[in-house]
Amino acid sequence: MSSADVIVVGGGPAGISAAVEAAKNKLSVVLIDENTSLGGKVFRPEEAGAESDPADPLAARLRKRLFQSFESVADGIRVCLGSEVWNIEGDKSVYVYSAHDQKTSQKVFYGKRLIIAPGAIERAVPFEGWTTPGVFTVGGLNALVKKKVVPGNRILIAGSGPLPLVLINNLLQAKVKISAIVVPTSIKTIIQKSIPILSCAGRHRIKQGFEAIWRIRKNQIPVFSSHVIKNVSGRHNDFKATLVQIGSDWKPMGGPEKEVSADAIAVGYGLVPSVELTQLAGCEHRYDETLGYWRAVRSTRMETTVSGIFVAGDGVQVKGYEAAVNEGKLAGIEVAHQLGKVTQKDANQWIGSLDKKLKKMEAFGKILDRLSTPGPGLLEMVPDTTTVCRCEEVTLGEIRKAVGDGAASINDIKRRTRLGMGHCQGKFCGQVINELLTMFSKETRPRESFTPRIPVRPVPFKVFAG
Amino acid sequence: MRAETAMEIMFEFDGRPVKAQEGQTIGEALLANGIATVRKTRKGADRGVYCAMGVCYECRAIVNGTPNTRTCMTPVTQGCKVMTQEDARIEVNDEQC
Repeated sequence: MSSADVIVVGGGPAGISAAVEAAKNKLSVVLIDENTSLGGKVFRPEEAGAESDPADPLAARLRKRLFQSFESVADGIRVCLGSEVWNIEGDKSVYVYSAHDQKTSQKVFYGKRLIIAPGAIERAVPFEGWTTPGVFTVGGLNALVKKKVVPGNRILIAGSGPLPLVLINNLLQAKVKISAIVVPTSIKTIIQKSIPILSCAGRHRIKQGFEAIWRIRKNQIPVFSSHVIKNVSGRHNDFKATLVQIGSDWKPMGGPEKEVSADAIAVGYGLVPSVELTQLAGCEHRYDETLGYWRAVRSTRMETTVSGIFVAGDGVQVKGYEAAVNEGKLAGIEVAHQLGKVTQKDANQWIGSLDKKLKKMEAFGKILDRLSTPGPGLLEMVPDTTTVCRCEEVTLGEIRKAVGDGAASINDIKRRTRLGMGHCQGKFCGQVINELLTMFSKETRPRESFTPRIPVRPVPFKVFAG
Repeated sequence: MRAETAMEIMFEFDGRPVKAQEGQTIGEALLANGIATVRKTRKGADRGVYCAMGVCYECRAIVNGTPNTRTCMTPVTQGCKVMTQEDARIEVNDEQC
């Protein structure tokens, strides 16, 4: 077992920022990330021609500044890349597995403090055809496009949240044809709900929004507002997507269906925090109805209900990279304060100024979350044949049957159908299973999440047993 | 800028030679060559890269003999051998838990 003052799990904007702040204050730091380079999804390095979003100069600027300060304290940070955390215990021991590096293939780190910065994953809702290769999450396709890999000549983008705009910008920059943009909300709702953004988004964000709209119009991309993808048929490079018009509750309006052809398709409905590590560590979580996801309960100083375990960035509430950098910094300062490296007075002063910035970013994130959370109608149009659990290939019909046979909880559905037991550990099917249980049992129940179990990532049996 | 200088390498997919750029993941290199399917599920359905960030595990393939390797997270290397993973066949020897 190796020990350090602080262990940071996750090397994205929040994690790097937390590690930098802790190292600046002379704490020993271990920074763990499963990718082969630091940066997370937004600040991924410019390897093999990958670019930071050219349409987002703020991201490029913040990234540069963060990596510069990282370099200045890099000596005090032990970085473990390609390393997956498969277990965290309440005593702050972190179990790591690396498939790439035999030397560190199995390791346990113990930290006096632990900062978890796992980021977010895309919110996905099943539809017929969503498992066909060539259908991606919006963030997934965007990651490919940033590496100059565009899987087709005509791309269809559907869904909500901020990511579709980022993808549109990057595709247009790469001169790729966008066959259509499908948006679940009406233009009127978007404008209405976006008005409060003007007071909290900051000038650069508002400018970005207007620029995106201008680009969509200039390139004459067809936009289907108040529409969703109902199903996708065909295959990669030869897809047909059926679109239906929906109302404000996302239920079909009964109007004629429309068909759009595409080579590749990206669908997503915003982002949800990755909570499996904080859940596993025993931190208390609450379901936030307005945001539409589970989040760890934490103090204003980023500390969870487990003393000494902190959580920062999109892994607790989705606010984007700028907030993540500030939250990581705040967590780093508080940890340095708790370990006697920063005085109470200095900590209060730093944290006070960060808090102010974060309040505005939080308001911005909340508006985006509200705009992206799907209404109930979306799941109601899924047929029995559609796969809900991609890993174990459990269909909607099988879930309906399990509930009809008496399954009364999501863990009960899991036992009966194997839903959520595959490689991804329920990360996607877990997002909709509560809604499906309510829909089929016709009873409102307290929301549950799957019982967190180790290993949270699939690891070879010898690691788990050893 | 480094796109122009990225080194071209060769690897194998199901025995066929495929070109890649150094720095790409296996999944990216395959998609750049128009190959989207890397796995067949137990029921025989096609799967490929979906989330491209290591979460969904859909893009698992056999890389240099190791099954269940996420192609979206694994850098492509000169001469590496990638095979379509058929879940129905490999699960007998599956050592993952």
